[in-house]
Amino acid sequence: MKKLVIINSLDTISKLDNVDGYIVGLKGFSVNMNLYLDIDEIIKLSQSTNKEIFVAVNKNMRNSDLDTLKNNLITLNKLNIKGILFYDKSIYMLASNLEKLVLATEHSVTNYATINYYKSLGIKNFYLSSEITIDEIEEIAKKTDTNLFVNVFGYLPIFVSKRHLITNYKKYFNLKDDSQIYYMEKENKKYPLLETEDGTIAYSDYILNAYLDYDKLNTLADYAIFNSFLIDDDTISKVIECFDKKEGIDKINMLLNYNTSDGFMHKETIYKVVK
Amino acid sequence: MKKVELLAPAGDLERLKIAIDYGADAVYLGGVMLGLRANAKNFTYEEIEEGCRYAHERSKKVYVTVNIVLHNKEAELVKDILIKLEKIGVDAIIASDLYVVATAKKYTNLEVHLSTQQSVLNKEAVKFFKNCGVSRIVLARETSKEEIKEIIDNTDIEIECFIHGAMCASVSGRCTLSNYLTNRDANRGGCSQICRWDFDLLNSDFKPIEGDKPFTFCSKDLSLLKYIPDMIDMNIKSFKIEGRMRSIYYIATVISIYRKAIDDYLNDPVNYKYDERMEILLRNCANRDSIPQFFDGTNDETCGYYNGRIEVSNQDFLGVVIAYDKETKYATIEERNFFKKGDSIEIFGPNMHIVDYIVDEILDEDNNVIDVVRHPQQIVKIKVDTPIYPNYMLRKKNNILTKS
Repeated sequence: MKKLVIINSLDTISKLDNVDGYIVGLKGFSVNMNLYLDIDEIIKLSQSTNKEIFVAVNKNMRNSDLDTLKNNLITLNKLNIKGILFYDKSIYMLASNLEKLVLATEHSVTNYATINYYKSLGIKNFYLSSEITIDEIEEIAKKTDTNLFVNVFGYLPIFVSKRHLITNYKKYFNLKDDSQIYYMEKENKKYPLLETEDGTIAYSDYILNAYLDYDKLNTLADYAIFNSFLIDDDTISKVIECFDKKEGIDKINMLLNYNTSDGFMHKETIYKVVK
Repeated sequence: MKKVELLAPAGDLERLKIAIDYGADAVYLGGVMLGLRANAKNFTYEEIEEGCRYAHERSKKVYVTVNIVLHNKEAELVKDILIKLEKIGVDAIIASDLYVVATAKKYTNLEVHLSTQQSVLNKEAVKFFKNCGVSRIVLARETSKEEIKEIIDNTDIEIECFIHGAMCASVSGRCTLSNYLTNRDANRGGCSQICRWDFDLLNSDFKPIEGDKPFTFCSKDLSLLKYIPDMIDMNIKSFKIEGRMRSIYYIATVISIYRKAIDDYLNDPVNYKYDERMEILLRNCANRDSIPQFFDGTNDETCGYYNGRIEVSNQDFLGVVIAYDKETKYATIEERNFFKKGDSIEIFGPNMHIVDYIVDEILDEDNNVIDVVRHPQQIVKIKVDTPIYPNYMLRKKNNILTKS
């Protein structure tokens, strides 16, 4: 299983030699990323590293995005980049090369049957949802013949809105604060909130840490994703080293000042509330 | 004459019948499996069959939601469920997961509408889903009037738009707040409406940012009554009302108002006038403020609904008519909210038939004279000279319709 990092800055790259590649956003066309580069910066990045580069082009596109999107996809296809993470199906229509596409619809890549349907349309790469169990991942791996990406470490995006919810609140009540990051708190749990040009993103209150399942995931998936959102470069590098050298979950927890959890790896979400 | 569809939510058989009686052209409902309102009552197959019978006898249609995000174990159920729904005679399914779409196309002749869960905002995505076999697309609620028009002008598929009801704070399909805060699966019918919760908002130093009311994602509701003529002219095929868990009073009121607006415009577009009084009636019956949202480009602080989670339930709905005796002129009423002798009320039915009425004689089930009706679902009789019918409803007189 190759290791990819959703990086925070270009400087991060020099500090993360122990990974196989990086994921960045395309400015104006991505959400849930930590670093958004314009197309020229992505060209430079693709020329400056021998690591695998994945570009997330994963926001919900509007009609007004389509012309530029098409040109960007043509450019990306010519570059030495490994893949394009996509959400909106306009990208399938406008992409000149389906080989590079990675279906990354966050919460809806959840079963083998749908994956196999997309495969029949020419998609070969699938970024699995974080809301499924490891048993479900295992079944998907058995019943599909595709490249699978799984989140193994980091905060998880759990909400995307086209509204600027923090700005709106501050404007409505005439509040002044210029933080780059906010938190919404409930029952002592803090959920990071981030506003972008496109809207608002909320993250999980914990850092997913699938360390204990990593060996099994290694037999099931092709790419492990580490998200460095709110985690500094040194820490994420040491965490990856712990995964590599099997240094134990305690050592990882010692590196972090945050809550960690194995998320839904061993916990099914409730389908219907029994009254 | 141009034909558009008024599409109503049906949380159960009672609401299905109310929606149809009050003017819906079609209803959508969830079966006991694979719908996005797992905690609504939902329909058994027998109830879907009865609903189809009721609707088809009146030349109306029934659509069934099969719009959850499938996990492995649910994927195995899809084929059988779709075959059953086809046999029952539903007119279409509303799907989100493309495996459902593909299975419907492969094993049934069911028409498939694409759920708003796919959040389609652009014409290329519309073309993609059309290629997958869907015959109609429910656009994302984040689309503007101009974007919808551009999509319709550049594609050849039926377009359905929400015109009224609650808004998700998130892009549909991109929210798992329920999963992470309550362990209920937002995309498999377990949404616990976290976006209506209040939260403490902290800045990057973890210091509270406090307005007069708590921070929330909650948005005002959607109302596009004002834009019905524009939407008809844009060739939107279906006008969808949100709210499978809403009351029969809400369904009856909202459907009546939109039915009238649509028919009035189609019958006489030149002289059609937007009636703001209807907007007030809509707001009153939901007890929530509503605005055009993204349709007119509004996406700012005026959309927020900062009320500290105070949701006052509607007290206007007084009762529902369950029988009317033409000879004695006594209407049998099932009570929903307190009313008493001397109250000014309105009795309303389909086609905006409204009877002004002052409560005079009230009889209980044993024909004893009483002065107040205060028990939930209490059965009483009142004498009404104007003929009214079962499923007519009683509401407090609000004088909105008598104001010019």
